Amino acid sequence: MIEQSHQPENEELRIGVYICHCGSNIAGVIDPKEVVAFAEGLPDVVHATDTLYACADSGQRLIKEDIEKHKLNRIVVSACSVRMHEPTFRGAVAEAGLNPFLMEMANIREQCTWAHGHDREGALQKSMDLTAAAIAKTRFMTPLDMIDVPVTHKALVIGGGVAGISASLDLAEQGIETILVEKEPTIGGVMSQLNKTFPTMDCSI
Amino acid sequence: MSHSIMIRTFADEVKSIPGGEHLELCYSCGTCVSKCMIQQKVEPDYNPRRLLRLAIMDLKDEAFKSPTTWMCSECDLCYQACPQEIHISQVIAAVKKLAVEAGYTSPLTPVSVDEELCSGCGICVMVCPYEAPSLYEKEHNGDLDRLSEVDANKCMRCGTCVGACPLGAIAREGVSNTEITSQFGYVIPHNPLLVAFVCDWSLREDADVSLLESYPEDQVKIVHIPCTGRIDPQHALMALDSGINGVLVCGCKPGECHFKRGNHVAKCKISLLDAMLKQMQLNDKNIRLVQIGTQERGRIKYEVDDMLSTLKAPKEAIA
Amino acid sequence: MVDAARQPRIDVRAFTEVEKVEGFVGNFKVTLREKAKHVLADRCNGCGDCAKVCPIEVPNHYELNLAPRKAAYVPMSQSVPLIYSIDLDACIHCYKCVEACGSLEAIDFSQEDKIVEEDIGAIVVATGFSHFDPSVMEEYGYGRFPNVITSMEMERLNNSAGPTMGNLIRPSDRRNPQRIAFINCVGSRDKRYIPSCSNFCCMYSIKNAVLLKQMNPSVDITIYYMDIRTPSKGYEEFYDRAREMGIHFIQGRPSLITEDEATHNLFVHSEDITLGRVIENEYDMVMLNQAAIPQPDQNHMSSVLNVAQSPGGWFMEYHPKLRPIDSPTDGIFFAGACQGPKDIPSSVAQGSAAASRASRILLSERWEIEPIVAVVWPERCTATTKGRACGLCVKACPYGAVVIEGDKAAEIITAKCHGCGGCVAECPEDAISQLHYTDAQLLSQIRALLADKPEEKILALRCHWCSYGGADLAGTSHFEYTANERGIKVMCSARMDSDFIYEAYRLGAGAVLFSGCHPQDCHYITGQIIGAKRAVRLKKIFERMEMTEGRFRVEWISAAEGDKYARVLNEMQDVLDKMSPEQLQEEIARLKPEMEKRLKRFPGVPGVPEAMLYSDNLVDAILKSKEIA
Repeated sequence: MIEQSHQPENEELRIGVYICHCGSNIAGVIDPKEVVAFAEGLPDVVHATDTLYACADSGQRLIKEDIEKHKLNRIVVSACSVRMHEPTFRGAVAEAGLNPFLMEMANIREQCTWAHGHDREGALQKSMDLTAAAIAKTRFMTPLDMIDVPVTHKALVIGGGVAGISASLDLAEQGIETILVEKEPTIGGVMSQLNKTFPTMDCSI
Repeated sequence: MSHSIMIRTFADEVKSIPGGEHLELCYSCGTCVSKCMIQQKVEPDYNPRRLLRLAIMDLKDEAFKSPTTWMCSECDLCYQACPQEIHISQVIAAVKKLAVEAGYTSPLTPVSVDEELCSGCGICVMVCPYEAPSLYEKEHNGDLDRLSEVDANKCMRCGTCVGACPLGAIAREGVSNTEITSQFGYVIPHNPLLVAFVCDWSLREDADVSLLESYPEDQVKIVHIPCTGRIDPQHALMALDSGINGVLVCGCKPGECHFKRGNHVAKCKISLLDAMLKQMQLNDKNIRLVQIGTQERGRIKYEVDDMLSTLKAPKEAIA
Repeated sequence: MVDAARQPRIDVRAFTEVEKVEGFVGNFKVTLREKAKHVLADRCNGCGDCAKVCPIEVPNHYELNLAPRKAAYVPMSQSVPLIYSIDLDACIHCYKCVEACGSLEAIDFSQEDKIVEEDIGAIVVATGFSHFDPSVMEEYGYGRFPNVITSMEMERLNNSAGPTMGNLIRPSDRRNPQRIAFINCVGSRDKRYIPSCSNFCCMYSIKNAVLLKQMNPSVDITIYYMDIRTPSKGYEEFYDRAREMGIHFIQGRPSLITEDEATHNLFVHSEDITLGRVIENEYDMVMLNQAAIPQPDQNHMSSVLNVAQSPGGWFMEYHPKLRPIDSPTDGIFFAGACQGPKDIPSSVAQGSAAASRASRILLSERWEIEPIVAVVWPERCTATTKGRACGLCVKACPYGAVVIEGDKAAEIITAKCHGCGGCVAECPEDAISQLHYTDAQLLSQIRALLADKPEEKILALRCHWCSYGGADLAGTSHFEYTANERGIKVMCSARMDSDFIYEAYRLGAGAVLFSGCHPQDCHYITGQIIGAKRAVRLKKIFERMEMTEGRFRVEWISAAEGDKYARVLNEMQDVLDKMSPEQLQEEIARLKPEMEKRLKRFPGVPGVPEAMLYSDNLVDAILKSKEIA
């Protein structure tokens, strides 16, 4: 049973909102300052600003400093996909002492400006709505702790071709017990069937 | 929101015509050029890959003047072979359509219709793979006559209509009725064993053509035709009548006809002829149709030898 | 190869397949099937006496069937491990091998497949690739013309350990070919077969040409190519060297190969693009450089490992640029060509990279995983309220992470929970919540997204692993689609609660997209199936309400299908465009009471009333703020 709260505490919210230009990737289609002006009008937003590259050192430093300066307890970053930089911004807020799960991203690059270059007004409206939705989510976010699990110190490599052999050797040489599984009766894979191999032109085995 | 393409360039124009959509997928591998036989057999400047390139690069006038625009007969051998699945004949057709609209005309000489002989029966309209002939009405001695006329920009000169016209009213240079019959039969003193009507496209490789031409004249007489669709059953009968022992018609494999479906027309004609000979209790083995595929190098020699050996065997009575 | 066998910490298990992978990072349980060799591994000394006496010969698959092997065999003399196997499909049970093996007593005909379970911390997948079969390309005559061979056949014919001891002969008459053509891109870069480039074949054919030329400088070699791709260090220089050696390069993809029946010589028809001229050249032998394709069992492995596939069937990495080695599943990594065609240096490099990624975990005592898991409010569970748990949550869980003991409320075993959220959405009592994706959070997001002109909007519910990735790819590829889309992300389509969709329509949403992964790609084994069942049920409900077709759409979109994501959204926009505003408003108004009826219990969920109150405020603020901005 996990001991984590899933009910927000009744603390006063202080949300910081960062609208990333991503160079011209976002700012080439919409004006981030308009989104900033919009975000400033939303409840609990105590600080909103745009930044050239939120993911860059300077952008991360800005967020960290603001957390301290404005006593922010929720962060919204409207930038790229979570698949790109969620770990980056979680790390940044954690360094400033905020629980990383109190940061939420709005994807206004891959899922907005890059896909709606033909419709700037539509893209702007969408950026505002996505930012508002992220702000709305932070209202009900709670601090969460990572779940800590034990690790079995044994590796499995599936496939005994050149890549599998290379991985197995590297793992074993770091002291890790490794099982190398090969479905054929011999390891070696396609490479062992080859005559001499490029670029050294030596034997493949 | 609108999904329509804005037309700014010649390439856009080509792409906006159905069939032209995939123009810019071409990566110039040359498969179409070597699959097609026009460059090897007829026109050294024929090159579909280069025409696509001209269109992509907006070289409109050059594209309109290119022989490729006018000589593609839409056999679609290249389409089956194209690794980018570009319907090349349709792209070329799109260029041709724009060329015609711009006032350019085909450099090919179309078949001609003899108005005195034409009865306006419309068989040519039915057999043409390219919708080139159409019927129109013309006043003649106070009456309205129905006549056939041929669109010079559509005619690919396959001669299928020539072979089909019941009144011999259509002619194509080189293969009119008299030009064909004068090559055998009554005119030549010593008749060969075999006369072979050979579609110029069915023998892909030069080696096969020279092989065929190496037979002595008294054995095999070759009559070149543009397509087996051109053959006329009467020619075969005339040949047999004049003492020639056998007739071989050599065309392309089904699906590989240079003129879309001329080989299909030929197949129908030959099977009708076979049936007729059977009814007349004549030996239908003396008339044969072979259809040769692009990969069947050397097959023609086997076919001719086989037929010659049949013909040289003790003759069965031909009435 | 030999190094791997010699390294004491590597346990080589050849002739073994992976049957099942369960568990999670640091704690995988893997089931292996060690296939019966009918030879005892600890007794066989690899002497080969059994093969010598075996009377049966069958084609050796390892030699591309160019040479025979016995029923008692090793695929090649340098096999690792050097342990013989008895192929029972070929064996006639003469038992001569048993006699020959003598006192070693290594042969055991009663041996059966062995199932072994292993505890594993991290997995490196390096299952490699396979070769395209060119016999489907009629134009090249492979399989009909004896002297048209594949690149792998060339490897064996030219290999000193191969069936001809490295003496290259042509199959039709065993003469040494003097004129050889190599054709590149056979099956690859071809929309009819494999649209992508196979990566290594350019260098590969140059390598073979150089080897043949070095062995016999009088051999005439021509490489037919479309483009020569030499993108790595030293490759271009190697290409230069090949040309200096007198190897001919013809740019032009051959359209046809014909054969002279008498000599079995081959004629290659192509255009020489540089000359713009059609050429026909005669050769003694033609080698087809086949495309690389995924392994025939790649789909099966993909479901065993529970990892997705890219277009073309290769395993799909977490991020093409930033995490090219990681699979989307924590603790599973890719190395080599299973992730896409690769040459040897890149495969070795990826092997090392995967080892390094895996050792981050394997060398740690403990590992952290995201706390996005389910939690139960025991007081709401029917076990508490009615004395008996309904058990729907247990059924919904793909991992057996929900347990009900006796008459106690359902409980989540956190270590087993992967966080799909299926139990949360399935619970009829709303007694389960998902951390970081609570009803209150998602409801506030939906209300914010639909604050302004909801009737114009298309609310898109996407799963984290596939459809959200598909939407990303649509953007990365700059496939344009309607800017009226408003996306929301949950971990899996299993989490997409009916209440969210009713709420969207109640608010007057123009359309709703319900989108997750394809069934075989689901990151949570069967999460998609739970979501799909619910989606079908919703579809029927909306049909019965006579909602305009297309206003509710269910689509399975993988992370590789950016084009599909854009197309689906544009089609949904077309549905809305076809309706007049009055017609749409009338329909929204007509259905609103229906939605309200179905949402009656929603405010009972903890946190939801607060979220409703909050979002009413927020919506006002959004509208006001938009006016000002």
